[in-house]
Amino acid sequence: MLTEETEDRSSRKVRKVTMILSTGSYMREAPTTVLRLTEKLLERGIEVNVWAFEEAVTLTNRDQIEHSEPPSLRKVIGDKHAYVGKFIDQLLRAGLHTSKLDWVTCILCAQERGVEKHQMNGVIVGTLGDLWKFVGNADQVIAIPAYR
Amino acid sequence: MSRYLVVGSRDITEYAGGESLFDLAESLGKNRGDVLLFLVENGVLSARENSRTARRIPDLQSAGVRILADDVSCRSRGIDHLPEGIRLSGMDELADAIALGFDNIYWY
Amino acid sequence: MANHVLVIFEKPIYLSFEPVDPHLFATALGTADTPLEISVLLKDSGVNYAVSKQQVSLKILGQEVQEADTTPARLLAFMMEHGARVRVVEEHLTARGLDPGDLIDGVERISEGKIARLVEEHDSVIVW
Repeated sequence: MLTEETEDRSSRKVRKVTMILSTGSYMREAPTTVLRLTEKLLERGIEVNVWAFEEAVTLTNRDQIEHSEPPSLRKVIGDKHAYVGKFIDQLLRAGLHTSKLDWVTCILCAQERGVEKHQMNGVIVGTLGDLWKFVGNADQVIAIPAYR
Repeated sequence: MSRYLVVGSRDITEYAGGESLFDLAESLGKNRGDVLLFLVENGVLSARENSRTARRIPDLQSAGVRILADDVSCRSRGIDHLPEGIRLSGMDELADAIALGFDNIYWY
Repeated sequence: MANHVLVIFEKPIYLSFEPVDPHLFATALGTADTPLEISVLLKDSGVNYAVSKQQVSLKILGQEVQEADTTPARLLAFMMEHGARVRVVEEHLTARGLDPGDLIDGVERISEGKIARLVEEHDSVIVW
């Protein structure tokens, strides 16, 4: 069972988890799952590194805002809705008081999408080399596949 | 004993080779691994009783694979009853399991 | 002129920080605010949108992500209120362990073999 101690890697205490995410939100649930899991890992004192790749670099675009929904649909979808960046910002801040969250966006992906200069405070614009350092230094690596 | 986390996050019915995810979990279990299969997002559609993919559950159990289904994902999709062999779980239990460490994590 | 539009949902999207799958509310807007006759077909895992007991709710850091109390099924009901026909592929329900009793009222079940006829009968097809 999960509590059984062994001599392999799994017996060591996990201190650092790297998550690789390459999908944006508003069309996908994967970023939501990453945020949910990040919150729970931070609560347990585990350091989390999120490497945001491809469309995931738009998750931390600081220019996301709430908007009004079309009047004829408000009865069924409400007046407005939360945006994903707000929750990432709050998890970064939560990381100040629990364990540390590093959120790194790939510079190449950010530049080609025009969002390099639009990243929210606390997010690091990094390189592909950072990805492999994260992977090399992590006790656990979780790679979320890019599929629809 | 090696420990493995296999995460199913999509409806494997839609993929020609989708059930290879369950094949992987079953093989790891048969090779004496301690395997946790965690279903989340559309992966929980396999957790609906009488679904085509749920028929694999007894084999997975026989191979020693533990199967958990994410509570938020199940509720969202109107799944309020799970077949024998799958237990309702959530992010807390997944984080606890990761905190203990796996030899490998395979997220599909 | 594309007066009769067939809109097909194949993959369900939940908890994406939209109040509901944006394809659903885009379609709902078409039924409510335009003169187009829109029909909806749920196939593959999209059939799950017609399940009646969906409860979409999630908190991160104590805050509700889904501010609106809504579900895909509510959007489908809204579309039907505005004249849309909603059909679901029977075989795809069965593969996913769903019975007619699991679905919201008003949804019509069709066999997979009828999809071609639906395509023939409509002026335009949108597969989301």
